[in-house]
Amino acid sequence: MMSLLRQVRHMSTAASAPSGFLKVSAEQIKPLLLANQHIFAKVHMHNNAYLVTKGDQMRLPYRFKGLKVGDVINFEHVSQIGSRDHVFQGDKYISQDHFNIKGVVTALTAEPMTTHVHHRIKDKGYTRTQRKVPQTIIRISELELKA
Amino acid sequence: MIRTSRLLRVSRVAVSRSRLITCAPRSFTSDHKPKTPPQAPTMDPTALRYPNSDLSVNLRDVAKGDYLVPGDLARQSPALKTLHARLGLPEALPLSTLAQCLTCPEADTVGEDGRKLADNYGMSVFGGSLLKYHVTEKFVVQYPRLPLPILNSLLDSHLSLRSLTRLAESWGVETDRRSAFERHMSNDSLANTLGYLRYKPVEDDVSNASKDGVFDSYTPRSDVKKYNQKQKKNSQHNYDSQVYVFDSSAPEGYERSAARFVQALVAAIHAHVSRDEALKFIDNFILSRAVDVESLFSFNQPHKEIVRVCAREGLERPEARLMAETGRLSKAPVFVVGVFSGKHKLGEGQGASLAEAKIRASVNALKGYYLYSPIEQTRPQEEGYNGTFIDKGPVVI
Amino acid sequence: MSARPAYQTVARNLNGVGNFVLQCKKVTFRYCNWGGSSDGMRQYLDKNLQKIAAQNPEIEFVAVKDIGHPFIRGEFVNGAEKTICCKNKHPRFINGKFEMLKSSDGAPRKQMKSPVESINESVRGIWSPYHTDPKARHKI
Repeated sequence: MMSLLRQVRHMSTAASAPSGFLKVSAEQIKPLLLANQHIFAKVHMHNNAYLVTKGDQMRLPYRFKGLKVGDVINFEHVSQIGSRDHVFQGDKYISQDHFNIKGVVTALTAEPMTTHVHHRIKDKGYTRTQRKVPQTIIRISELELKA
Repeated sequence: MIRTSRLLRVSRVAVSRSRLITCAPRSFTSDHKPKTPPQAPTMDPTALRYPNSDLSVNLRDVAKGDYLVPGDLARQSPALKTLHARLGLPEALPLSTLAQCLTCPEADTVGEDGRKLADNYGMSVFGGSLLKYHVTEKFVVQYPRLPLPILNSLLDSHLSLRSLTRLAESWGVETDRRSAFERHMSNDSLANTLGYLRYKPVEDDVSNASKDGVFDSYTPRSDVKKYNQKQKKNSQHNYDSQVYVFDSSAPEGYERSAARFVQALVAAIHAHVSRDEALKFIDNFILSRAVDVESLFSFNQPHKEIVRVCAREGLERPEARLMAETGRLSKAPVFVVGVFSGKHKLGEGQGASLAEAKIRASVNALKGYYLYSPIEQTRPQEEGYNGTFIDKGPVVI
Repeated sequence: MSARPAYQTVARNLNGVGNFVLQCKKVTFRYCNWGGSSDGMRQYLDKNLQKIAAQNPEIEFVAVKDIGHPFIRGEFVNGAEKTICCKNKHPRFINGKFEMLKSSDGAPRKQMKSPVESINESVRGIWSPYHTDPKARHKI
């Protein structure tokens, strides 16, 4: 009978301590290269992880200092790159020799103004605070796996 | 100029001397081929560079006497300069050529000395061919097995008039629908009128112009939104592409003209910079757009088709097998059917009935076959080109 | 008949994937020579207009003299318009608003629902209960 299980193989070396940049041989990367760049990557910014594919738009609730519209961001901290059947799990991160992921800052805006109402207990009153969360909008312009 | 009298003389001579000649059939040889390869007619290079000068007497189709905007006048136009910078056009491309790209044939324009402004017709013809070639090359290499009607649909999604119009709009190109008289009466300097797309509006355009005003950026989103909403409710795919049934109320003249501008721009880069730069421009602006190729397919008899495909490829005859099911006698059954060729699963689909699931499975099998994409994709123009995967052709049901 | 096209589509522009096109295309400064509310705007234009026009070649700058309060208006590629009144404001405020217009893309402000917006379908695929191990499948 046909097995309905999808084989998901994780390729990693779990021996070394995390927060390193893992580099593997071309042989080990080969199954992922056969996916023909139909892949996703998990990029890290400010300790947050975002799963992206090429052409995605990221709306981040913060600004980066000194960043302007049109700047190109080179993503260095990438912890996972995967296809439908295989996932390359880094030793916390993957070495930059294996990928090329770039994003373009398309807009620096903000969310619409919202009012946060903090109610005190037992109808003792409330305080209103207005907040306008900043947004950085980044378009993933390149996402490719290199041997 | 065609010297008609001489031609007539030649034909009369031919008629009088012709007679039937019967000759014995001879074996195929290459003796009849010309010894030297045919030479292209030599063109005067200076004439090609200065089409408006007197040297262009030999070139029949060059529009003589059209006024090409001089560089210093073009540099006074803010719209032109900002467009040039916004697109990141190379510095070698002068602003006067950009102004020419924005002027469509039959547009009512008047230059400084009363002549008509040079238009983008010739450039758009060349640029359009270059675009079509380059984009076709990319998709034929990327999806070698794609059936021709689907390939054409894919090309249309990138190169149709509407598609190029949307591209031009995304660059912030505005239109100027006024006639030359209106422009003269408004006392605008020539420099201020450059940088806007000028064309001859069709009847719809004229009525729209009087309603909307003069310098308006055409935002046809009102007719798109309605169709978009309708499509989203009924469609299977949540892919938010702009789907159109060609709207007859949208002015035809505007789309053709905006498309001409994009095509002419490609030709202008080719002429002033280099072929490579023009191809890079196409790569960056047109091939970077997204289309869901999978959603372009529509099959009439998918199972019959996959049977024919397998027969041609020499695989075992495909059959549909039930892989999993639930709720057969309930209100919402689910059947998962796979199309198998021997032991290999070609495709899989699920549906509310056995027939539906079988159809979906066949469709997915066919999509898997037609959307094959090789890993090494080198186009013929690139270095290290080693040939492309050539498809066997369409399957006849 | 074999495969036919389903319908006509238009390819979707993804600004940034190929080349990036700045979305702000025109900025208009309105000022008045008489009113005191235009003081800041007049100072700003005197000192900065040439400088910012040189630094931003993609944007068309227009300075309009008109009766009334001053404003700064940005026009975007998608046809949207943002007008900010600058009456009685100092040049730093006006500069801030100009930077805001320049970095905006003309789309209406919206709250972030999830950080990544994608038009691609998921790479790993959606989980299906029918593709699990038959022994482990849920049995009614």
